[in-house]
Amino acid sequence: MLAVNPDTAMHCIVIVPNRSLSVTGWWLFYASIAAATLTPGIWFTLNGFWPVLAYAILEMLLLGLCLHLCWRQGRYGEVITVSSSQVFVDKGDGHHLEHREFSRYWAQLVVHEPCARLHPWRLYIRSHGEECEVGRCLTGAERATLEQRLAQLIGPLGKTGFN
Amino acid sequence: MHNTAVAHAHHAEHPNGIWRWITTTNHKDIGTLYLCFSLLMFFVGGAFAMLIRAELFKPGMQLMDPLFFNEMATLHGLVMIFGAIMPAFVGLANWMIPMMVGAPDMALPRMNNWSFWILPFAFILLLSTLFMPGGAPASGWTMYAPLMLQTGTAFPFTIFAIHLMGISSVMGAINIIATILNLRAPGMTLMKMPLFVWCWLITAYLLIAVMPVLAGAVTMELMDKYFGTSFFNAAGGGDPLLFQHVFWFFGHPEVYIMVLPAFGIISEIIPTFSRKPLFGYTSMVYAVASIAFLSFIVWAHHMFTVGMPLAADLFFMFTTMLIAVPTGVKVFNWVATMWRGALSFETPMLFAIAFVFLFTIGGFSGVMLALVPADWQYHDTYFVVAHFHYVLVTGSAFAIMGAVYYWLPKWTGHMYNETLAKWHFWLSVISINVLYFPMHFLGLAGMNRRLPDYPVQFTDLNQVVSIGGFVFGVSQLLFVACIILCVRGGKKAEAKVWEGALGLEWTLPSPPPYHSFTEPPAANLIWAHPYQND
Repeated sequence: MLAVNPDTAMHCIVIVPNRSLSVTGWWLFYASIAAATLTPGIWFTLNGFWPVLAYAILEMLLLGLCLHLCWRQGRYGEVITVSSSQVFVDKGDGHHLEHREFSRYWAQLVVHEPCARLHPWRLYIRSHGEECEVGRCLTGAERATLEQRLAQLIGPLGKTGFN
Repeated sequence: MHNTAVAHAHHAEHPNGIWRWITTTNHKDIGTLYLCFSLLMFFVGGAFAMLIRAELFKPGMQLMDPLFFNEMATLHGLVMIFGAIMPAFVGLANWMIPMMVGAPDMALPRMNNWSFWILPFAFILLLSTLFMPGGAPASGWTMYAPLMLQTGTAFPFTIFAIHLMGISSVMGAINIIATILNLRAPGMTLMKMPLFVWCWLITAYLLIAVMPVLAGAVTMELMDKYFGTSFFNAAGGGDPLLFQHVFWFFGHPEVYIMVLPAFGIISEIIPTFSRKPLFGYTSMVYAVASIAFLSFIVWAHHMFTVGMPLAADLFFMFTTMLIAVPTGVKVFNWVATMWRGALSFETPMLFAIAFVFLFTIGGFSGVMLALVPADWQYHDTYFVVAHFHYVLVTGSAFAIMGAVYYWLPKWTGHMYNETLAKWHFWLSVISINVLYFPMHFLGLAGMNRRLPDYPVQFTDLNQVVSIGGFVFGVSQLLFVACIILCVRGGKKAEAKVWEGALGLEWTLPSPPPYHSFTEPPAANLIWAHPYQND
């Protein structure tokens, strides 16, 4: 999802994935389904059928892992700020934050083709041998929109498309 | 050096040929795989049913020995439940849920691929037991101990196949839950979701809750046979009857797992062809949730004849009858949606109306079976067979067929042949009643299920039933013909295929692009497609 600051002096693009599950919702859902799954498991275990509980615990771990991965992906975000002379990229998932700065004059937009056919193409900002990927959580069409927008903001010199 | 245009063009491509289908993580491709697989299994399970009906055409033994008859009955049940009905609903969920909630794809696409590709191996394993020493499992789809333990070489293979099917179902359910909870478009609140999505969310919840119970039950059978335990062995202190409790704690919610998505489909089709919003959206959601809750506390109505205490009999009788209340709410709401609507009777609507009428017949015979004294009479007779086939064939399978006709133009970009489809519908609906309705009378007269022979006085009705079965089987070839013709060509379908259709999926072109919503749909688009009339 893209959001652009209308301020013309300093352009700011905020990129966050669409996430409709809140933390409270996550816990409510997980607690309710764990109760529905583990209660019969415990009841069967008390009656001697312990394998049911073993499978229930395994399944809850798998569900928890999958929901956690989805939720963690949803916490990822990027802020690309383009000033008159610099391009700043801040990105991370709340735990690991990364800050990069590039000279706007020298910054280039680079597209890397995927190594396999099913993998997505990637968009990088590059300058002086350093690269920083942007738009990682976007779909292809959204990334193409981002690439066009950045090309406008960074300037014609920046759009060279090296690999 | 590469320019950006090259990369974008590259990204718009997707692999073709066999690798597309093996490696795909696209929800539409995987939905198509599920639906094709389920159609194949529908014919495999149907072929087993044809053999059963051929044997029962006359009293005495004609075509097969009793063991093989029971193998056919067992495999027919397992293949139809785990191979045809459930994968068909998962296929529909894969195709439609991301489009309905405004997501680009499923939340866990790689897991989606695995959850499908486990299935063919599971069924190859299951069907290969036909060629093993001792034959395929012959204990019925319920796999009751100790009968199941008498299975020959096929026993561990069957258990492993059941585990694989369970793993596939659980992974599919997790994916659906993650997609619905996490990837809804902005503005798509829970109470704005289409009923199909709601029904699937609750179904996935049920699947996750009960699949460990099935896995535990069949693992305990495996341990009893190979590891010296005595979970269900009376000689070792176990109790074979308790297998039935464990199994039906899974088995009854499983019935609703196969019916709730059908409720969702019917709740999509009827408003479209009535050109009215669904009557009582909120009550429909609560009714589905109530049915799901009640499904956990009714399991022993499958076991009234085992000699439970009177208090248990009464408890399970009353809770079972209670299910008629939310089910009645749903039937009332569907009828109220049609009331004074501008109805038209395209094939999906015909299947939906047949569903409402015939599923209600199955529901009524279910209420009869819920009565303990009556159940003592009906138990293990063809009355039960008639009951659950009215629920699962004229219920679930008819809903799936209606859904295929409803969404096929969206999937393929072509309209199906309406004349051929109506032939399919009328042949199916007539033959299915010829097939299943006389089973009620056979059951009431005392004909037992799962037996390859019967007293001569049941001959006439059995011949009628078998003829109905053969006609129903053959008429399904028209369904395949309709699908193939529609995939190959036909009149171009518009984005909004049906005049009265509601929902985000109809805002996409027909066929939809490889990635459904590359941008979340605007909130006003969601609000412009109301599911509630209040």
